[in-house]
Amino acid sequence: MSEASQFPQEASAVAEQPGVGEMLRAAREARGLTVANVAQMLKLGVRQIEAMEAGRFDLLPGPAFVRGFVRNYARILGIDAAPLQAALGNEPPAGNVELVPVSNADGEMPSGGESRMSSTPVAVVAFGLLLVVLVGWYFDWFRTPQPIEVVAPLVAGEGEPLFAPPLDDEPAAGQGAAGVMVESVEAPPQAPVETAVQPPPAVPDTAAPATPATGMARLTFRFAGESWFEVRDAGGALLVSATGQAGQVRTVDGQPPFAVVVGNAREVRLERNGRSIDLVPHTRVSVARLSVE
Amino acid sequence: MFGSLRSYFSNDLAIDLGTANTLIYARSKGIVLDEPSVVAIRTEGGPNAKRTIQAVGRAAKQMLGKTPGNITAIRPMKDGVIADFVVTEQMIKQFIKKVHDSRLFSPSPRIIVCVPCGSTQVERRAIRDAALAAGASQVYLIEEPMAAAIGAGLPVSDATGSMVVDIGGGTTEVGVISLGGMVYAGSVRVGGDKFDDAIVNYIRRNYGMLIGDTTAENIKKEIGSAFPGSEVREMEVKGRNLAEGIPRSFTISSNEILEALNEPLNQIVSAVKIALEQTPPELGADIADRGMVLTGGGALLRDLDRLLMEETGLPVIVADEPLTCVARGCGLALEKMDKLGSIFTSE
Repeated sequence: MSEASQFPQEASAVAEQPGVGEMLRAAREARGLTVANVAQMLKLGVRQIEAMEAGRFDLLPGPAFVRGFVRNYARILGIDAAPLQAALGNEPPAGNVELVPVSNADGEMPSGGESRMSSTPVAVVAFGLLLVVLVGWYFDWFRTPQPIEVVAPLVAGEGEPLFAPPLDDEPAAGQGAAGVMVESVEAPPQAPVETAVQPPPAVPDTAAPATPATGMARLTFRFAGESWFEVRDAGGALLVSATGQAGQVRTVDGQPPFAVVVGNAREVRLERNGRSIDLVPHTRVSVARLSVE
Repeated sequence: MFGSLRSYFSNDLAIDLGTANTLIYARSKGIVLDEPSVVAIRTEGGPNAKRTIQAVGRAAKQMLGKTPGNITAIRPMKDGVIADFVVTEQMIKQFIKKVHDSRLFSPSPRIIVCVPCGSTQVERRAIRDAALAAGASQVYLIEEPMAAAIGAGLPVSDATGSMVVDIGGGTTEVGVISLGGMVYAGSVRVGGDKFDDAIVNYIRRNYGMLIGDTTAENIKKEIGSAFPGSEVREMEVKGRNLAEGIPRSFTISSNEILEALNEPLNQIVSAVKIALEQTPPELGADIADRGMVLTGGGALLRDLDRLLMEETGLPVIVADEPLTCVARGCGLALEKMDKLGSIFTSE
């Protein structure tokens, strides 16, 4: 509460009752005292006495001081201070008193010691998170290589059609009716992609003996880069889970619909019975998951 | 939510735990209790031997110096701090019980207590513990000059120096306040009690008469003054003549009381002068313009403001209702307790 904001009301209230200053002046003159005498007695400045007598209480420090000054002045003049106090009006309402200094900013200063203390739990949490990521990475690392080991003999087959050794014996045994055939056509490593794509006409020839039975479908994977893929048939049995090298073409026969998962999907083209299927709509972060009817 | 629930059951209180008087301010009610800090304890014999509290406050004060052997009237506060912990705790408990209407729940208010700025950590801890033992849920401490300045209506939050001299029963606190905090705080253990002692000693020395503390207090209130005035007042006093051992009456004048009070008054004046010496010059300029404000019961001693005015050459004013300034200031702090932290003091 600044003086400026508070005094206008008080000054106007005093202005309606012009008695206070004039009563003081009249009493002083009746006693033959000068303003300088009074100022000396009250230890106040002459301008403060003149302001009081002129009723200019806004020039004085504040309501509490005004009341005190007027009381002291009345006492040395030997007049009753009570009516003067009453004319000055009541004290400001208690609720409006401001107890904290004005602030036009917000924020806390950093405290060196505390932040160093509190960094310990943060470090523990960060280390824990790092550990979780590392553990997850570790197990992921050892899970994905498994197909590679299984497929390795396939790749070694040098283009000869091979029956994929079932990864899991039981589903394969249960799926005796569904003929599973994976053909691998290895392009020469130095051959450009165009030549690598050329073998497909040969695929039907090599695959001809294994023409799918009625109700069966054939999926053809053409690899432009290294990738892995996994196919499950209608019964959910794993037909194949293997990796393909650049230039390879793999075919899978089985009972549709297939559940297909292809890693590094941008490098793989998928065909069903010779009809191309776009993997892009099914790709998320380079892995395509789709169901082929 | 729990705060509002709690405030529904028990009202927060501000306590001016003074050496002479204890005042309690209840939130949104104002001052609800103003009693002398006196407890009368009765010791019972027989099969149910125990000590019970006979009276507190005004009733107990009337017993001071007039008690039979089985009753002791105690002033548990001395020099602004606790002299008797257990009795103080019981006194606060009794006062809180008096101001609490709710009988259904035992009161556990949050309490603001003011402490002298010269009190030690141990003394502050004792005041806090006494309030907690009396049933407070939380206790906040505020230094007396700050509470007095708020209660006197000084612009404590402005960037101007305000000087307040709070003359209580046990201590005189001098504080210079600016921007909501204390720039200088000084405390001397001189107050109304020392005035009474000085009067008792003066009369014994010069009249050979022994008077009690209550009589001395009455003399001080009646004809005591701090500055030689134009009129000399007289008062008839009764006491015990030390030589004869018989009660006698005699007449004492205000000039003699002025002489008796000379020493404690000088201590107050020098405390004020030290404060002015220690005040930074910018704030000193503000104080020279506005003067200092006297609060506390000691400010009612006749012409004490004139004494300080003549000794310092600065304007001195007495606050409105100086006796309740500290309690009202504590109360204002209580009303705004949740919004401000800077005016409270730690131990």
